[in-house]
Amino acid sequence: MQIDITPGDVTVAAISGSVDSLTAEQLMQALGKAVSDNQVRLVADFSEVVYTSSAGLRALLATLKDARRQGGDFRLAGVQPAVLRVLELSGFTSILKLYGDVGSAVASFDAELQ
Amino acid sequence: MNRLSITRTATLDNLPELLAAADQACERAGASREVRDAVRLAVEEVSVNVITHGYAEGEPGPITLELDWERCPMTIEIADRARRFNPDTLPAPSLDAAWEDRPIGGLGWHLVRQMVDEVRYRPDPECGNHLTLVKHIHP
Repeated sequence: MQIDITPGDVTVAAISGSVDSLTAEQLMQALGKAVSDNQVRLVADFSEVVYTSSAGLRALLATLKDARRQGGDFRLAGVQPAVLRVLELSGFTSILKLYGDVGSAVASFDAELQ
Repeated sequence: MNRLSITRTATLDNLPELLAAADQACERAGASREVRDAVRLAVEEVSVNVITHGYAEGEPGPITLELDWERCPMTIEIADRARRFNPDTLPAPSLDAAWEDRPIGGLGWHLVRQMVDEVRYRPDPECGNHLTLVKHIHP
């Protein structure tokens, strides 16, 4: 798994590979650091994520809680069918906002400011 | 022979080998990508539970993964010598709760049940656990 974080008004974390029990801790720490650096308007680009297990779900939920408690939000973009299935089966699609691509996810934050 | 078996010490370092065995069995069985992901996910969740909870007290012991696709459905046997744990005793997770009320974790076994067609548990007569997961490869 690789993570590439681009800070900004809306911070984008591009993630690729598998988010599993071996890699989820790294993801949780990277996203947790972004939130603690006050990058609480956060988008994860999941278009290159091919697999997630419950370890990945833990990282997503922890980040979501951190960001919202600090007045921001954590949103996903480009989730692929295999990962979407796991999110749906776990009831995560009702608490996480999902967008087709990064542009739409970033724009959703901008729209809220207007 | 349409059977693959691997025994390793139950540590996270050995998880990739267990997952690779699951992938290899599915590939040899001609499973679709979706089925392969499902089997991999089930094997990961069960193995990590054994690694992090089963052997939490004391030294890690063995975990054996045995996949058999001689007939459909495929059977996936996972055995350990860890403390007894019957997954049937777990409460169902709350999937409708608001984000504030969701606990972080507790979804692993829920996902296992979603990924396979049947889960059978029996405690080993001496010590440890024996799980059988059943998965239709060609639905």
